[in-house]
Formats: sequence, structure tokens, C-alpha cells
Amino acid sequence: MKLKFLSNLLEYTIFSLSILLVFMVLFEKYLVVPMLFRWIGHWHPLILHFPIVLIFVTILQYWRKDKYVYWYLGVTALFALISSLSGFLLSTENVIKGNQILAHQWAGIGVSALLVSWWHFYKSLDNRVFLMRGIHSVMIVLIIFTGHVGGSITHGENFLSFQPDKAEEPVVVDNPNIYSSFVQPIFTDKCTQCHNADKSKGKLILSDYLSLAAGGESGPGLDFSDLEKSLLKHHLELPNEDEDHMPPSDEEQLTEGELMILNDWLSGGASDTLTMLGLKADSRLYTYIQNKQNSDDLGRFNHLPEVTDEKLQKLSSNYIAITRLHHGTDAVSVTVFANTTYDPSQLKSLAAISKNIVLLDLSSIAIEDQEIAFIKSCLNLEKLNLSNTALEDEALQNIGIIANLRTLNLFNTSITDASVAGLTAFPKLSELFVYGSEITDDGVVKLSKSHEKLTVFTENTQAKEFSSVLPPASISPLKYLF
Amino acid sequence: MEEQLLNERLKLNRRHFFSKLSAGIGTLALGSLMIPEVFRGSNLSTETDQFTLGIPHFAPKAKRIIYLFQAGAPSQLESFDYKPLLRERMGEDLPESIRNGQRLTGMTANQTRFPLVGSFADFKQYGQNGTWVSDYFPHIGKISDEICIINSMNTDAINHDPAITFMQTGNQISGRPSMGSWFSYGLGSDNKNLPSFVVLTSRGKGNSQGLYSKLWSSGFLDSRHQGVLLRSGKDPVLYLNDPEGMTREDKRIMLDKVADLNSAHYEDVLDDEIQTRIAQYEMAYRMQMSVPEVVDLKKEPESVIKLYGAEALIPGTYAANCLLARRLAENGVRFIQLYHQGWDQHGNLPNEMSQQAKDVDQASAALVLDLKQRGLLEDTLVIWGGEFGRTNYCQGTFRADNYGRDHHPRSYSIWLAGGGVKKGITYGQTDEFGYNIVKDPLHVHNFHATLLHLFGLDHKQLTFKYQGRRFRLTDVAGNVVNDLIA
Repeated sequence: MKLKFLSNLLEYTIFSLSILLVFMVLFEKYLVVPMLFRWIGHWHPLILHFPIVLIFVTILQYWRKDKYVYWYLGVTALFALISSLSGFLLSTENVIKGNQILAHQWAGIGVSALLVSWWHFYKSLDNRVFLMRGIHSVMIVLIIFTGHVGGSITHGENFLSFQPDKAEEPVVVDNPNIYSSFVQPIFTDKCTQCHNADKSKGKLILSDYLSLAAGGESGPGLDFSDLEKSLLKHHLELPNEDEDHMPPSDEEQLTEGELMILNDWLSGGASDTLTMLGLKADSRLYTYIQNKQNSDDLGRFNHLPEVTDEKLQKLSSNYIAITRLHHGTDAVSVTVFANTTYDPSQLKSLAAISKNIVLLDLSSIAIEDQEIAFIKSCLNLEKLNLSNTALEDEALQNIGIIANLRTLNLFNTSITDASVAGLTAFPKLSELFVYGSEITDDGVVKLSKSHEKLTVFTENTQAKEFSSVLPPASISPLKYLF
Repeated sequence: MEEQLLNERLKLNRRHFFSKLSAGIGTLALGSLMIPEVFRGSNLSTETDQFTLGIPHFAPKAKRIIYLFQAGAPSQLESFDYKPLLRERMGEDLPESIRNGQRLTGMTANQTRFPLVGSFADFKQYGQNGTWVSDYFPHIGKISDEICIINSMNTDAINHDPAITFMQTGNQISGRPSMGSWFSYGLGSDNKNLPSFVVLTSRGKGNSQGLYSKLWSSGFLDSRHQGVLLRSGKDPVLYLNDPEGMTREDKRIMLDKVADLNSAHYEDVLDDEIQTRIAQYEMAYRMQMSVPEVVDLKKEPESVIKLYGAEALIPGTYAANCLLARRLAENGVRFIQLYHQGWDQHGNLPNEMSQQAKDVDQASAALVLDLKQRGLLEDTLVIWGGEFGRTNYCQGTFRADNYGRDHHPRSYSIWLAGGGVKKGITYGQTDEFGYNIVKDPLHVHNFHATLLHLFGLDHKQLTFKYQGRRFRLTDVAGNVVNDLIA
């Protein structure tokens, strides 16, 4: 008697909940969900675990011919319906449902529908082994899919990747756009897991500029009347313990550098068209980008042929220092130290690594034909030191143009103004040291004018003053007594 | 004897086996959980062994250091930290709200009064950024656009020995490797014919504190990284010339034989220091050729001597050492450590400071300029500074034209030039009384971390395992201060 009552109760409940679910899904557009029901929605992440487990138990027990399977099935269907309903209520909090939410929703409803149908046609389905196997397989696939998508919604899409491969950082261009190159990547890395079109916590979406500016529940993200008071800044700067601090204290926090980027972007006007040159040259972000451009520049060494430590070791001698620029690069610096046993043929052995040499220091060495031939073979040379040599114009001319040369040291050489024209032809030259050579002031002016980026270092004006002896330090006696 | 040796070896093996086995299994399990790269064959790893010694971890900005150490602690209040308020309130007691009960040395702790005392020298503004520098240092003022003045250095030690040891080794108690040794260990030497770490000393007329060879000791690192002190007299290295009747060939033969004997000894006891000794004999042999060439200041043209000042021709002076430092830098010495003694002005400060400043002012500035016009400044880092600062109140009898200052570890000034450091800036700030730091403090550990960073070394990765623990120059502290880096 009592069993009959329970069975009826279960049947009616399942029936009414099914109707409710169908009704809600059909009339979603016209639905206004009362507060209490919204609250029920928040239980979805808890309830959903019951049907998942129960489905597996039910299927298992069905094939083991458990006599209570009908009851298991009823309870499972009931919980599946409750999860679907609560999930649906939760999803209505999003203004626009993202693809993931929709997929999750329909897969979940599908599982519930299958369960309810199975329960309804339980008797007539019995003994139809193949059909049952099919239904069960579909159900298992669906429930796994639903669970996986649900997990992606709450934890972010990359949560399950073995090692989240961060997108390769783009090479920083000359005058990068601050928002797209630096600001949005921070949001994408640290914020959009919760603030995206699928899961817009606090109704805030941080996947594009307009959404950020529009903000969320508590107001616009950017306050253009006073950017320093923008909600974006406010939430980031609240103390960690504060409930409203973002990102939440148990999530990965923004680094100091990232905060710096956001702050400087805000003080630069927080526009999505702001570029590097629009920043103040003394701002930290400006320096940061500059450094980044320089370090990205290191990528230019990636194409160098591979060279082993053993090889470098073998080619080094007491008078030739060969060192790898830094760990993990094939760029090499070579310094030849002047000594009585120096013999230009020693350079020949270095031909094997000439393409790896980016820094070459031949200061105080006699630069003759063999040396010149060697310098010419160093195609990737960027810094060349020929100081304290008797280098003459003709020899320099013979070296020709070194395409990548950035720094050339001609301190204390016999180079004259005759080389000026040749020197202006070096396309990437940015530093040129000519003090102690015979290049005149006119030559220096000509050189400086030839390239926008070229700095010519000659005798320091201060050094001139030193040599003409500064007046002795005058320490005035105390003019005041107390 | 033999049996004992055998036993020892067995013990070693068993211990080795167990420690490796347990650690091995543990790490394997943990490693697979925590660092997926372990099974990915990736070369990413936090282990320091992954880095070959002698190669920077990442692209360096600087290649060599010239550290102009002003031993005895020059007063920041008479050099780079301009505090006009101290003159205005001359003779008034240091307000307790400023000192706030912070510790004093035994030398002034018993003073009944702490009268504030302003700088005897006036200050002037120099350069594009109007950097304040005192009249004691007019030449350094002239190069203010080239240097980065730090007014917010602070240290843990309040007395000379622990403070200078801290500055040089990262620890107040002696025994750790010196900075120069760490750099030599991490970056290797460029020129195999000269030591990678050279020490030069000079002494002013002011009150001096001792210098000890422990300051340039390699501690537990291989002794080839130890600083080599060049004598401050006429002959920087003694016995460079072969004795009469001995040719260079004879010497070669002798060294080869000695090396054979040493190698045999090494086979016996397997002590790495024997290898080092063999290598150092060889270097000494080559130094016979390289040193006379490098230390011969007579080769410098007159214009250079004028730049550094006439004293540069007197061996053993600070100016001569600066010039020598430049020559050593040109010849591939990694770390050149100068010490100039005589900066401990507990009394008679105005007179002594003026003397001391005259010793170093022109030569220090000249060194920076000289490096610059030779194209060396961009990869040579020059550091100028002492081990701590001096108090803003007077020690001993207080007279407006003659006073002293006690030790002050809470703030002091140093400056850096070249080597990838921002130029023309003043970093950090002290309060109006010049007692406490109010902006951007720079602690010694952070200073060390930043220096290593400039040389492409991660201060957390440059370690040496000794007595069961990995040691670093920064011990367990230190942060890189990016604001200093250009």
C-alpha cells in the first residue's frame, strides 16, 4: 500500500516536472524568473552530481538484473529533471547564452528526456536487449559530454588541457597598440574565465573593449570622467581580503607588471586606439615596451646555425675567448687578445663558426688582409671593435658594408674623413665610436646627420673640461652661526 | 690503512645508494605530478645544473664591473643626499619621532644630545635633471647625466666589519664567497692570461678601517675565483721577472714537472683544489707576459693622465688605480674591485672629507668618461659607494665648522654608471632629516640581485651546493629592481 503511494508520488512528480521543463524551454523568451527560483538555480552545481552517478549505477544494476532497477530509474530521472530545471534557471541569469551554455543545456535536457522516456516505457522496453544497449550508450556519451562542457563553463576551457599552452607572444611591433597588444591579453589570461559571454559573472564581460567599457552589474568598467576612479581599477586595487577584490583571492592574481600596464593604460586615457608613442616617454609602460622590443629582437638570432659548447671550447685558446652570448642561443662573442704569439692564421680555425659570431673584438690587433677576410665572413656581425689598431681608411673600405652591424668602435685608429661616406652606408649602424681617430668635427656632424638613429661618440665635453683642469673645489666657510 | 679506505668507500656507496634511492623514487612520483615537463623531455627545469657555468642565463647588459668601494662609509649628507633642513635646524636635537628608538652604535648611544648638523659643503644642481651634488665632488657633479644616484641604500649592519662583509659577500659573517668570486664563478673569465677578479687598494688621509683579504675570498667556491690583490706600490705583482740565469724555457720545463707531480697527487686524493693549483701556476706563467703590459701606465697619453689628474702617475693612488682598472677592463678582467680607505669620519669631518673627496672625485668621474669615449661604458658597470651611511646628528663635540658623524645603516648613497643602468636619474628618497627612507628603499640583497640580473644571471639560479645546502649571493632574499635598469 505504502509502496504504491510512493510509486504514484514519484510518477506525478516526474510528470509535472517534465511538463514544467518543457514549458520553460518553450517559453523562455517570456519567462520572468522570480528571485526564489533564481536561488534554486544556484544549487545546480551541487545537484548535478546526483544524476551523473545514479545513471551509471542504474545502467549497471539493470544489466545485473537487480529487481529494484525500476526504483533506481525513477529516482535518477527525478534528479535529472531537478538538475535540468535548476541549470536552466541558472542559465537565465546570462543575458546572452554562449555556445557552450546552449550545448550544455540541450545535452542536459536530452539526458533527462531519455531517462524519463525509459522510465515511462520501462515495461515495454524490457528484454529488448539491442535497443537498451543503444539507449544506454547514447546516455553515457551524452552525460559525459554534458559534464565536460559544464566543467569548461565553470573552470574555463583550458582547465583540463595537460599543459595550457600559452599562445606565443607576438613580436612587439614598432608602435604597438596598447589595448590589443598588452591590455586585452591580461584579461584573456586572468579574467575571461569568469567574465566571458558564456559565464559573465557580475554581468561583466572582458573579452572586448566595448564590453569592458560597458561594465557589469555595479556600473561601467571605465569611468571616462575620472579614469582613476574606474571600477576596473577599484576592484583590482581593493585589498586581497576584500570580497570584491579581483581576481578572487583563490585565483591567480595579477602580477605587479600587469597592474603597471593597466595603470599606465588608464592614465594614458584608456582608449583602444592608444599606441606606444601616445604614452609618456618616462612612463614605466613605455620603458617596458621598449625593453620588450629589444628582447624580442633577440629572436633575430634564432636562425643562426647550431653550435655546441664542445666546439666553442675546442676553438677557444688562451688568447681567443669564445663565449655563447647567453644560455639557449647560438649567438657567440669572440674576443682576440693581443699577444706576442698572435698569428692571423688562428682566425682561420674560427671560420667554422663565423656565422654565429655577432660580437667581434679585435682591438689592439693588427688589421691586415686575413683579418679583413675574416670580418667579411662574419655575416651576422652586429658589434665590431677595432679600437686601438692602426686601421686605415682603405682597410675599412675593404671590409665593405656589414648589413647587421649596430656598433662599430673605431677609437684610436687612423680613420679619417675619407671613410665618412662609407660609414653612412651601414644600414643598421646605431653607435659609432670615433674618439682618437682622425675624423674631424665636420665628419662627425655629417655622420650624425646621415642616420636618424646613429649616435656618434667622440670626446666628451666634460672630459675636455677635466683636461683643462677644473678650478679646485671651493668649499665655502659656514656663513651662518646659530 | 687500505682496509679503512675500502670501508670508507663502502660507507659512501651505501649512503649514496640509500639517499639517491629514496630521493629518486620520491622525486619521480612528485615530479610526474607537479612538473609534466619531466615526461615531455622539455629542457625547462628549475634545476640550476641545467645551466652551464660560464654562460649567462639570459641576455646580459653588462660584461664587467669596476667597483669603486669607498671603505669606511663616506657621508651621504656631504655628497649626494641633499638635506637643507639640517642646516636650517643646525644644533637642534634630532626629534624622537624621527629616530623612533632605532638602535645607535656604542659610540654615540651614551650621548646626552643628538644635535642635527648640516653639510659643511654647499650643494649645487648639475645636469639636465638638476641632480644635487655637494661641492666636495664637482667632477662627479659634471657627469651627473651619466650616472644613477641611489639615495636609498640600506643595510642590516651598523659596524664596519659586518657591513663591508655584508656588502661584499651578502652575509654579515665572513666565510661566504665575495661578489667578485660569484661573478667569476657564474660567468667565467674572458682573458685566460689574467685573473677574472682583481683587487686594487689605496688609502686616503682620513680615518681608516682595516681591509682584510677575506673580503675578496672565494669562500667555498673553487679558489680560482678568489680575488687577486695587485700590490699598490711600484710593482703590482712581485717576482714577475725570471731570476737571473733562468730562461723562460727552463721555467716551462719546471712547471711541467711540477704539474706532473701535482697530477699524480691528484690521482691519489682527488682534491679539486690541486687542479686549481696547477691551473693557477699556468696562469702565473702567462701573467709574467701579460701583467707588465697591462700595468704599464706610462703608455697612456698625456691627455688621459690629465683626465684622471696628475696623481694617476703615482703608483698606489686612487687615481692610478682607476686608470689601471680601465686597462684591466679593456683586457677582459671580469671584476675589478677597488678599495679606497679613509672614509670613517667620526670627527673632523669637514677637513677629512674634503681630503678624501679630492682623492677620488676627479678620477672616479674621469673613469666613467674615459670608458664612455672608448665605447666600453655600455657593457662596463661602475659602482661607487661605501658600506653604510652616516648619522644626521653630530658625534662628539659639536662645532659648526668641525663635527663628526656616526654610523648610519638605515640610508646611504651610492652611484652606478654604465652597464645597462638608467642614467641621469636619482633613485630613492630619504625624509627631510636624512634619517629614514621614504621612497624606494634598496636593500643590499636587492642590490646584489639587480647586479647579477644586469649580467644575465638569475640570482636564484646561481647557486653552489656546500655542506648540504645550496648557497646564493643573495642567500634566501633579494628582488631585482627593474626601475634601475635601462
